[in-house]
Amino acid sequence: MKIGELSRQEITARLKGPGLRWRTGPFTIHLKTSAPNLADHLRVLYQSHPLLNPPYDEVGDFHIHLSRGMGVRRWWRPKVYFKADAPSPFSPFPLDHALPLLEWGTNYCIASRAHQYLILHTGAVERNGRVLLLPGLPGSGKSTLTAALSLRGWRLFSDEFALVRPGTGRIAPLVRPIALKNESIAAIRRFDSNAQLGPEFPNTRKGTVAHLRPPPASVAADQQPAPPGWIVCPSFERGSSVTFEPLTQDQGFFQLAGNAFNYEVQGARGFRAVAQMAHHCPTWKMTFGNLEEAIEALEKLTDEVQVPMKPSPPAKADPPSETTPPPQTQHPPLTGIER
Amino acid sequence: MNAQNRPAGINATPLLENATWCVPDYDALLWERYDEIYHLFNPGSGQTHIINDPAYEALKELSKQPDNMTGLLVRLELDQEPEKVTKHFRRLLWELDQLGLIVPVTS
Repeated sequence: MKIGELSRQEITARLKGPGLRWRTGPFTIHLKTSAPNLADHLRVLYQSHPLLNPPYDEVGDFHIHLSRGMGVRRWWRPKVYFKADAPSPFSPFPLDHALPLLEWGTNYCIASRAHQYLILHTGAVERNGRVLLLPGLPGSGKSTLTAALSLRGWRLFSDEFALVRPGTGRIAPLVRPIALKNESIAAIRRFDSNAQLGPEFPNTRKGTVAHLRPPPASVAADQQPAPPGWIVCPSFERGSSVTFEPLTQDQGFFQLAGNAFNYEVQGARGFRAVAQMAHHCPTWKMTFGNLEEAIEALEKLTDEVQVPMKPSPPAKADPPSETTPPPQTQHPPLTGIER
Repeated sequence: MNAQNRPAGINATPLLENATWCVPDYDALLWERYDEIYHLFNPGSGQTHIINDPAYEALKELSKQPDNMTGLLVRLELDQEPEKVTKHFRRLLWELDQLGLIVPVTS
């Protein structure tokens, strides 16, 4: 059963009562709240996510409570508080910003607790059985590009995280609504007039935020991991044409390690996982100014640069011997793509 | 990953000049080679370092047998013009010591 199959009243009753439980990627979310309107938002944005019904066979990963402020605050500038397993790591948000608080709070829970994965701060979409990683700082266009690719049929993994399983190097999908900010909202509306966005939340700490409903097909496949294939570090520059600049493997290493939430927590496992990806995945820096052109270029790139299916072996304890040939640091040129 | 405060020059000290250095847990170090540089993960510190060829050669030699700077230069066949390389190796040993990759042998 899916969340979208419940009525608004049924979702509200669960949220106010025993809680609403659903699965997103490898995690189970358990949410309780009396915040108004959240049932409507969840029903749209999490429409295709599998609902969990009692008796529960799975332990909830994150027990989240969005609670309303007490006392005079309950009536004057009402607030909503985020609590995960009791601790409240954030300052409260205005009550009508419960959805952005839920999404950011869930991000916090994952980034701070899911250390069974190497967690990369990157957009991730799959094509031809391989995951394209889009690491980038806020403002780089990572989420907007991820959203646009998912609207063009690429399988969405996440606009925020790549969950890398150390050992196998495979990436677990974490398909959730994509948080679009400020100009990105209008950009995606222009890009695809059928894109299903939730309400706009103005004056958040990151400006105006709206959430894009993830493609149902991606949600349906969110238990199917895939290996990484390519790393592209996007950089949006208004008016720019699409350019690719290849990065060396050691530069790729630091793009990944530097964009990981828990690289140092992972220790040797993290080093091995990042080294494996850096050896295995060709890496580029991409500048773009137009979503359609960027997608066309990325489709061409992923068609032309085929990554071998067998991943490189992980780093060994022994240093490389003199007879070991140096690994390839430059990937094949991209014919036909402006560089 | 750490950012070391690297001074422009390291003065000769009795420790740097005379100490016998060893690599405390060489077998536990994880290496990745990228052309002329190495990424080195030290489980002892949890830090990742970028290591150049001279540092790699020095660590490899010291892992085989502890030595002082003079002996290390001989083994690396860099003792022909010691005045040219001593300053660099003094600094190299200082940095490796600061990173915890080598330690002086205590008797």
